[in-house]
Amino acid sequence: MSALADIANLLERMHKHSAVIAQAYHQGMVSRMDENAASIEALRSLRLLTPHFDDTYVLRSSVRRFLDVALNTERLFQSGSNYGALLESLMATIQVYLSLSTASEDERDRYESEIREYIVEIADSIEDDLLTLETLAATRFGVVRTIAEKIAQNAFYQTRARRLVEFLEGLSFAELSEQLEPHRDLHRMFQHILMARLPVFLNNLSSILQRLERHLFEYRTIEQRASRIRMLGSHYRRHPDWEPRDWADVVDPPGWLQLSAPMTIIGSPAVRLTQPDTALVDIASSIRDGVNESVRRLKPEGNLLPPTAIAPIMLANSPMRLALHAYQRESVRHPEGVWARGWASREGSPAHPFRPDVWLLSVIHEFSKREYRKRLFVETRSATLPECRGNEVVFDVRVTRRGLVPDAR
Amino acid sequence: MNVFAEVVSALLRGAFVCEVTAPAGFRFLRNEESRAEVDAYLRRLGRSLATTPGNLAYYAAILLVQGDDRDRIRSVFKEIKHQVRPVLQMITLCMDAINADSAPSVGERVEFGALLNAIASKDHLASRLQQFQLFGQSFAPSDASPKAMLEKVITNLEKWDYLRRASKESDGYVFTGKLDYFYEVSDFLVDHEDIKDIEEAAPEPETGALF
Repeated sequence: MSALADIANLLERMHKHSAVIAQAYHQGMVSRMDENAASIEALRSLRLLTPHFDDTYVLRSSVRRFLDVALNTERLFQSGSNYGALLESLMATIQVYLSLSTASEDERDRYESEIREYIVEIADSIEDDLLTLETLAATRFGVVRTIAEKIAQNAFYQTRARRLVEFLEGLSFAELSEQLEPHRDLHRMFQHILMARLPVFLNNLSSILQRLERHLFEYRTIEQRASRIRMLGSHYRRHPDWEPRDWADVVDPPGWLQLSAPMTIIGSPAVRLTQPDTALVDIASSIRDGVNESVRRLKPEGNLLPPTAIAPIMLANSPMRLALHAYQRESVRHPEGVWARGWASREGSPAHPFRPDVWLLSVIHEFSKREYRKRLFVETRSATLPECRGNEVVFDVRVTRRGLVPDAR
Repeated sequence: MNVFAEVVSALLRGAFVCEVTAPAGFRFLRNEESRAEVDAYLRRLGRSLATTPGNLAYYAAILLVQGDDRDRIRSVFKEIKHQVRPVLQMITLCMDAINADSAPSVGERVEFGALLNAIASKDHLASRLQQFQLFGQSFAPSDASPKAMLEKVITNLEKWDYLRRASKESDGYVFTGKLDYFYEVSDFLVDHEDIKDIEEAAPEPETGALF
């Protein structure tokens, strides 16, 4: 079976018992029961589980670390930070490897592989730690809410970051590099994975540290502000009538009192410039849909019907109109004119008798019009009676053609 | 209107230019050259460009305090004296409603509904809300409900430019850059008045009678 098939087979078997692995990782241990006994035995045979006590089992540290790396948990940060131990192991392995002069090829390969793993593990741990720190700094410790907790977290991770800086700066990487130089592959790997990335790691760490320090300053400012606000609030509660001193009249008033007075700016469009035209057009088009828009509704145009389509209606003159015309004709013919009441009783239509007062008023109204004034003269026979409170009572009216009778009045 | 004209008009109107009230203008003023340009223009009108301590808002200040400016300074002081207690009360109310150990900052949201619920669920907060009525006629609510009172408080703080409605649709409000100005005022009062840091003792639980 090839090495690839071995790996695939191992992962498949792990997947088969993933529930037990997850439980052991999450709870720290797993208890043996009927339903998981087979899985536990299988995982033990794969050297993934180790007996703990009282029929309980824990994950082997290598598996746990693998899961820590994969899940990028906080434990990674804590366990991975043990760079000293890792570096010691790396240096020890290199020393053993360099001392092998008579060892078999397989033995040398085994040590080379071990050195490679240590190099990758150190580089990955540093990178993971940086990522964790970067995330925490970027989210400003979003998982905690209060400023006090944020300050505590900030201080904790600043210490961690400083320790990492100290570790990287204190490393004797140059010496290791020299030792590995005769072994080209190992040396290239060491250079590429650790040495070349060292300045980037240090640079990132320094930037994270600066950010954490800035955040700490901000948190302290916020904390101080809250405390001052509380102080002033509590002062007002203890002294409800308290008022600040008259700071407006001190020689040098504080800056916050020197707000300038608002200035009203009123502009008018420059009518000789073309620019306002465009602006006004824009304004006009923008208010087209406004609420104050008045809509002029036009009635639909009418249609003229042909004259034949409608029968003409001939309006007949009213009896009063006819009587007035007849009375006028009669009055004009007689040089002395005609008294209206007498005429009405003689000539009026029996079919349309008028009340005397209506008849007299109609005669006065009709012949007092401007169109008759030049031709006709209206004379009334009237008297002022005491019971009528100053009103003149008209008994009769006479209409005479002007010029025929001397105008007595 | 270009940003320069907008900024200058706002400043001359007596407005505070901040990220909440005028984002474009505020970004414009974050640039040093733009600030110098605006300041030079204001100086020709007897004013200067001033900023709050946290650089979170800009405003026009008197260039040189002269005799005529005293009336203006008195008027500002009178306004501040009128506003300081209600604004302070609102800030502490917001803090206590969510048990926050930090004072609200510029751009922080106040959700009307959430704040009202928090106040309604705690008697001491409801009683502090009612105290706003002591701050003058402008805080007289239309009815005795906490909602009406809180509406009145928000309306006043909005009128004084400390709060701005987040959007027409939401019931959320945002603290404006003028809050930074208020913190400057409160810091000044704490530093220059006889205000001592006396922790208010929490009410001790009553001890039951043994017999």
